[in-house]
Amino acid sequence: MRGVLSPGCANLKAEDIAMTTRREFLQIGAGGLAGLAFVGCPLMAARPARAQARRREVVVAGRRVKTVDVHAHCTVPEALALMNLKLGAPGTALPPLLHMATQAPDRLRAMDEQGIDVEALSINPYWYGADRDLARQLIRLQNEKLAEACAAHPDRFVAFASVALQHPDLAAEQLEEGVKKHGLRGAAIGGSVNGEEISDPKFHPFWAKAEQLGVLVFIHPQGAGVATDLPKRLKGNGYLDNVIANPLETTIALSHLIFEGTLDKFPGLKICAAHAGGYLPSYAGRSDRGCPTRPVACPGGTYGPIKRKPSDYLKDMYYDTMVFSGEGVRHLAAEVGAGQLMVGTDFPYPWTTTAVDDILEAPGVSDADKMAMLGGNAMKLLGIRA
Amino acid sequence: MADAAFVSCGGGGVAGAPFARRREVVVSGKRVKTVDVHAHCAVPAAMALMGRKLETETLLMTNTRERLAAMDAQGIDVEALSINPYWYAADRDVAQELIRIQNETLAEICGAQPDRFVAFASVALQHPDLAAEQLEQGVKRYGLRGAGLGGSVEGLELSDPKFHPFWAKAEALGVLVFIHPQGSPELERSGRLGGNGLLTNTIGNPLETTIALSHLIFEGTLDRFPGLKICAAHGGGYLPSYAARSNAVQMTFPQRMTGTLKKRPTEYVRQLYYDTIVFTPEALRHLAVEAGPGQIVMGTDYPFPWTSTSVDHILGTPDLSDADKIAMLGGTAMGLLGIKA
Repeated sequence: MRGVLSPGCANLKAEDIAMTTRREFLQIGAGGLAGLAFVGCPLMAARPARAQARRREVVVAGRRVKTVDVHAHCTVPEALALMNLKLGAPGTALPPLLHMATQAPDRLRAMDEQGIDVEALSINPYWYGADRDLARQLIRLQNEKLAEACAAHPDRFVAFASVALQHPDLAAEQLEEGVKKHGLRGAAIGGSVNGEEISDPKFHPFWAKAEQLGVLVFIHPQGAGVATDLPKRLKGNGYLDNVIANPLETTIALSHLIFEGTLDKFPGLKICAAHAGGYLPSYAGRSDRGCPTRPVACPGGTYGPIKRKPSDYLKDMYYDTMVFSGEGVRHLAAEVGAGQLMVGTDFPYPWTTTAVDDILEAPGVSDADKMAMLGGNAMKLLGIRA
Repeated sequence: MADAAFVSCGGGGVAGAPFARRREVVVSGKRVKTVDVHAHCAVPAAMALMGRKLETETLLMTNTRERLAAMDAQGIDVEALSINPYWYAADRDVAQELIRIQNETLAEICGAQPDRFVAFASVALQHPDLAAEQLEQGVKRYGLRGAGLGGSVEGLELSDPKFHPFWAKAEALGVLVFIHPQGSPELERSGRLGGNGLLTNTIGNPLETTIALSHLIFEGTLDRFPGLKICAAHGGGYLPSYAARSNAVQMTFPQRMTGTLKKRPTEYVRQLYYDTIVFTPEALRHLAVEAGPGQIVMGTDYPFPWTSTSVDHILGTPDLSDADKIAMLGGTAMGLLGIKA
């Protein structure tokens, strides 16, 4: 079952590109749910020629659903420059499409085509090696730019603050400022910080602040940053240093948050893990059985024994739906509950263009659950108005 | 096969009444012969050659009373025994002797109770040509039913061309190769699996299997040896439940595909076999959808107490037909391992 479909992506003509001004997009935004605006197709898409693409409006049970993508990357080149990184540089995973200030039209076209109404933007950390002064400058610049990007299209974008988690007290300040001053909706962090697990008590000031503010913390792994000998096992064909290393880092991060007692100490935390929580939700049974099988390996976490069954904590966390199939979504919902799931696309990395359809096509999932996953859950967590 | 045999109750695992009746598994009115493909054992005389000590007495096959009691209580008719590799560092001479002792002993164990035990040959995979010989001898001379391997060999992936002689032999013989991981030492060294929770096992083991199978797929080993029958422990680790990510990478990062595969990664996932050690009905249901119910065979991990309810796990999994359940409980494994009805 699908909602109203866009007619697919068309080959762009020069005049189409010229037409798609920022003003038009603001109008589309203002038009909101009317959604009849015509937009062109992304420049990157090379598909057979057709007319312009219509904004896809997702409908479930006859009702228009506002869809929210919680896994959408962007970046701020001026901040990258502070770490000597450059957008579009060869050998980096930094395509120009990440740039909000110049590429928002292309991004909006892709969103329109895929049926994404709102993106919750985040920036993958590359600044965890920065000293305090640099980190302060970089994050201030970045969060200001994120706020600007959202303000330019307030009905299409919200954003997670970036924080310098290597300086936990500073990160707590940055989160508070990001939320209160810049209207950002939470924080985005990596799966580890310079080789330290995010369950390390060092990071408690940050977790305490996130809990106190009640905002969502989006965890995105950085497989390549995993400080281990493992990468040598992930060479060769298939990009396993991403395909395996990314879900692995998330699995390790969440496992430590559970087993080291971080989630007991901060029970109000709202955590959303990218890529459907990596491997953990699908394989939660093994986490439950490890300690009974070999109790000696479970001396307790930082605060002694953990309070609940490991898999119970999984049902309190949130996940994107980047599992690539309706069956994957059904399974994830069965493991953690539909109320914990939100659309994720990984834009602009073309992992999927069918995130909405994967949810619509999930077998045996109720319409109410689909609506919650498509947008309802994220709207509540991120303070997005209907 | 005598049914309803009375056996005395073992010291571990089976509590309660002094005599436990052998559980007979019945699906839609039909007695089903159940086979456990994931059952560990040990041969101390072979371990001594590597200076290794027994981890737990329950691995011993010298007295099978306790093991049979557990099998009877759990409704396991046949165990397919395997020995986790600890000999991959052995030189050729030691490896030859160790494997000979081990496979002979495995054959004796199975010969003593032919209706309760079959076994996978152990092979010295660090010497691939020797491993091929050992497998052939194990199957033809000792009546073993396949081979048990680790998930990597002294830091080399199973997909390394060095191991092609072994894979060629396994394919030629048409026997099942059971892959059991041995943690992820590369990750352990960093300390990232330390702390509370046995993550060295709960993450390290499924991770090693995921890496091993991914390489067998992406490096083209399964294209080169399309007749291979491989069974991966612990439900294939993380791979089957998240296999679509392996497909997506072809679209997302084609520049990272350095080789060409004949099929989509998930199609290889559907030709491998997996045990049922995924613990919950929902996980098994998902595995059956992703891999196909005909690719799943029961596992217990005996004597390690990960689960004692493998039969009930299958019986209680939603959306499986009776035929699917019968296949998982024993039918598929009987075909793969040459176990008579």
